[in-house]
Amino acid sequence: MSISESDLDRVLKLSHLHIPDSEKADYVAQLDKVLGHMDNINQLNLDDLEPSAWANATATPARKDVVVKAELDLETNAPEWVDHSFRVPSILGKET
Amino acid sequence: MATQYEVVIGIEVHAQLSTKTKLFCGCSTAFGSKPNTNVCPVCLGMPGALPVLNEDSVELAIRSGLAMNCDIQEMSVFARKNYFYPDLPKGYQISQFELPICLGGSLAITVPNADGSYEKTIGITRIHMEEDAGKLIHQGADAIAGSDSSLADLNRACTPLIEIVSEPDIRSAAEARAYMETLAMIVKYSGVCDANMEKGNLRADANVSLRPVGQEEFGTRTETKNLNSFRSLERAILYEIQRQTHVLESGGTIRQQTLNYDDSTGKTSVLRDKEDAHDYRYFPDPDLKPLMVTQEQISAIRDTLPELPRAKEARYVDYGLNDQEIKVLLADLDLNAYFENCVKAVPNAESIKEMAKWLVGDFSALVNAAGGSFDTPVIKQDAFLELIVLLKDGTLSGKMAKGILEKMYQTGKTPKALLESSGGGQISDTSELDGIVAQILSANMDVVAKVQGGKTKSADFLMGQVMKETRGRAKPDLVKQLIMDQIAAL
Repeated sequence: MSISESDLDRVLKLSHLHIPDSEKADYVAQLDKVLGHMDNINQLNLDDLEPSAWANATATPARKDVVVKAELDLETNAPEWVDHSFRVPSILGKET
Repeated sequence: MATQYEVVIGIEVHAQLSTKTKLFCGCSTAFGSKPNTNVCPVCLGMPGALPVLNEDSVELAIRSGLAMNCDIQEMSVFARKNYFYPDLPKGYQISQFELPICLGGSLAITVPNADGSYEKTIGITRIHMEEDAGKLIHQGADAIAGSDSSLADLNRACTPLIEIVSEPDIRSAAEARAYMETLAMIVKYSGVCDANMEKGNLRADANVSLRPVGQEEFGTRTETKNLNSFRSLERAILYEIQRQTHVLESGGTIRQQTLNYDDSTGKTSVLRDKEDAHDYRYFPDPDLKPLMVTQEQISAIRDTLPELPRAKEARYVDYGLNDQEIKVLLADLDLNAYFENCVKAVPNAESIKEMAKWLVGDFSALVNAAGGSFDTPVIKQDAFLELIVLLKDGTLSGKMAKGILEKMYQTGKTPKALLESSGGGQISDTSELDGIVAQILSANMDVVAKVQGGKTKSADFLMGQVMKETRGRAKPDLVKQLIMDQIAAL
């Protein structure tokens, strides 16, 4: 396993993180070490196993289409409650 | 010579499934409730709350796939599509990504053009299930830009949707509209979705790109979101074709972007630079195991699929109905059910044509004027069929039937009961009419003279007098004949 600085840049972009250029080489080396562990795991013989995201991949259970009303005290618990709605801060920043 | 461009369009349609409850919780999906009254820990994204799949939503998703000739997958997987936005408090939308429930279908469409119309088949790439997001109302400005805060209503969060993704087979705005209209009819008739675009339970995103004619490779596309009427879809695409053509012809390049369409200005504007799938960091939702369906379940659902609009249309053409009648009969599900029940009761071609004519015409006009529906019609099917029988056997003229139909609608009475109280049906007995015609002629000899002088149009006046005398019950053809015969014999 080896990762490049461009892989790191892509991860930084996706995670909205910023790292000074001077520190990037360190991070690449550290990430490479972490991901290098995959090489160990890759030595396992998994030929007869299907990939799975679950410990036990049986079918998901389902429920009947019947309305169940929840009793919630939203007004008390909401940080800001206006017109029976959750008030959230402005989504777009102000233009500068 | 300037480069000629070919337009390539793919459409993604979000259709809300007609279930009573949400996709992963028991909250109601009722439209128009007070904000945040149909919510619970699951759809509010509270920590520790776990989703449980609504079994009816699975059946409806399979129905949609079967109605659009898809392969239904025995195993499909729910995935988390991660994005951060206040309309989705969990921080991710539960959708299907790598393994959707339906793959590889098709939809046959009829596209109107200058020569009439042409047929085309549009490929369906996939249909997947996902939950909807909540609704935001931005405060302090008309739109998100400039607003100081937003109010989140999470009633809609987690309502069940299917996303139907077409292949990039569409080549014009007219084809896009025909595709969308056909799709709306199919989901409506198969009971999958109410297809009420005003309520937002059917909306389309249009992916539009241009490429030089003859080029294999697709051009860069833009995606115009949330088009919630057939007209907006068509207009947004026309605008986008024009805009992209202008950019390319001016030597510019198209950026992959997500656009918003404003119906009032008829223009698109940039919402955001387009994300790619990896931006969403999809991964299988560990809270939901794979969705498994058996071939037996699929067959059982297939057996309950009703006749679909295209097959109905072909049958109506066989009945001899005209295009307008067919269009109206298919547009309203309740009207269609009423018509089909009448057809079952009286499966005779001539009667069917008469029924269609009255249903589409005067009957619909009465229902519409009263703001009613064919779901709970004032005029019951038996009474309507009785009216058709009376028309066919000549007891009623068209004009009389119109009057009777109105009274049926006002009073709920049968046509026979109304006829009895008004003194009987159409008079088609010559002996009964002869005397009345003679009486009218002798009282209007000046008009008779005009008719004799060649002004045959004046006979209409005499006819009107006879109709008045008989309170509209005389058979018009017969009266006309008697008037002309008696004048000729004078």
